[in-house]
Amino acid sequence: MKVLFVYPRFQRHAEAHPELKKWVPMNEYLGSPSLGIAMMAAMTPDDIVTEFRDDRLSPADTPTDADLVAFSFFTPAATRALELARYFRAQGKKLVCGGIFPTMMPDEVAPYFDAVVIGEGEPVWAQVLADFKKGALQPRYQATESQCLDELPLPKVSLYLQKEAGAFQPDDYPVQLSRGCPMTCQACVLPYSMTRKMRDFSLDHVTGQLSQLAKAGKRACLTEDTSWFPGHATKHLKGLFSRMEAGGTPMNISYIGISMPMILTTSTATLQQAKRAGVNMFYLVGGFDPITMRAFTGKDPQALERAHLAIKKSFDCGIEPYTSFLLGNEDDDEGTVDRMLEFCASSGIRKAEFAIFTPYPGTPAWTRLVKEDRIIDRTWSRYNDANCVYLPKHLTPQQVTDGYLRLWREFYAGKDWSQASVAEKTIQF
Amino acid sequence: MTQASLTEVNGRIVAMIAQCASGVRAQDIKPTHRLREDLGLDSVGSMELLSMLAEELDLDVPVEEAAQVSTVEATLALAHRYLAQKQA
Repeated sequence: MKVLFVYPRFQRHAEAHPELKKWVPMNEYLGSPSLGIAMMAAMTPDDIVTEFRDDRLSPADTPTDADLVAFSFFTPAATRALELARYFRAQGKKLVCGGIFPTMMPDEVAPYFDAVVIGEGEPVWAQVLADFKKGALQPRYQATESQCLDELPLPKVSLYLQKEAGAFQPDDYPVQLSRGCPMTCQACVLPYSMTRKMRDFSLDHVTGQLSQLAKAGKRACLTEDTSWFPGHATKHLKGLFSRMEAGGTPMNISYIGISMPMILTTSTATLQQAKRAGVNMFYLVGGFDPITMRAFTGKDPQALERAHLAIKKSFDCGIEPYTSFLLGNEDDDEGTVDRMLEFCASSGIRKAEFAIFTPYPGTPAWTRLVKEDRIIDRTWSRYNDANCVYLPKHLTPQQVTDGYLRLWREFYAGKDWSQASVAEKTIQF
Repeated sequence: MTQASLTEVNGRIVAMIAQCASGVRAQDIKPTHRLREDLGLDSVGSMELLSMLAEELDLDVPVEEAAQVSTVEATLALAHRYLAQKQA
């Protein structure tokens, strides 16, 4: 038996707006696929042959001798995933899909696939394979309980590493510390796709993930803000930093995800420990938290002050804040772009990215905007943070798009990156 | 926990609340005060408070449980419950 794993392509910022390549003097960064396929491959028994196709690197719709085709995709890749599903179904293949979009929109994808996995794939993957072998795939699979993370193998990232060539040679790959989130932020799907219960990978597992990357000459990117939550989560993270400080096992981190509230609420001692452990950059995600949702509205000086404090604290600890700004939140108006640019200049941010607010299916924002009849575009490939797919409150969709492009253009205008290292001038856009 | 240490811990927690709710003095805070409505403690302030409880009292209060707390006395009760668990 053979399983073909497919990661459908999606349009990135510079593909949606090619002028960005002219304006942004950075190396374009084609990142790793998400870990979903690497985890399913790791949980596939050795007697089953596996193949992986990254549709971003070469078109996946070519003949295959696989018996089962398994897709993993998120919203920006959904349009292409459905195209590929049509192709493989015409070849007579059985198809299964999972990932964030199938989890949030199972009815939308069901007509294209023989089976849809809702939520975490690991608890049901063995059943999917067994049912397939019996010729009895069920239309839907959904675990009744969250996956116990201690039981999981390391993700099979070798599947991705083997594909490296040309434009796809990322110097970092994702690592997971935990799953789930108890918060219910407007624009985040995590509590719904991974449940509201926070679960940790053991430090041995995390060390294993980091170590297998280091052995391949790669660094790890940790994208989770949840690891900074006070209490248990921060203890877990500090445990990892302690192991990294102690040395012994080679582990290298390119960046850790964080938000401004988490920078402010985390003690300086913990941030300094992160620095000592080798964390030199934060991927500082904005636009989802109460500080960055209000700081650039012109109506909340306390939020703006807190935003400045967060950037200063990051710099004071020696960690570069690679900051992501989101345009199009409900209180953003015609002055928001100027305020963001002024903030960037006065706070000393050197590295930034800009995105358009996108109501991803399954988020509270999506539910609200559907109810208010403010979704104007359901072309999933345009749900990529680079297009305005909803009716903003105080701006037109065109103003949001123009503002987003202006942010990219003016932020990077005149910035000299000639002395920067390759890693420093590499971003994903 | 003795009455003296109970009073001392309560004083420390109230001082933390005052620090997170800018513009409020610890001596003006009453047990019945509502964190958000009376003391202006927003979600960032609440997270700061949780962080202080973790750092200064070594309390591991889950974020989801802390989010249910709305008054000063409920905050004290929650903190004491976790202190008792830690000492058990």
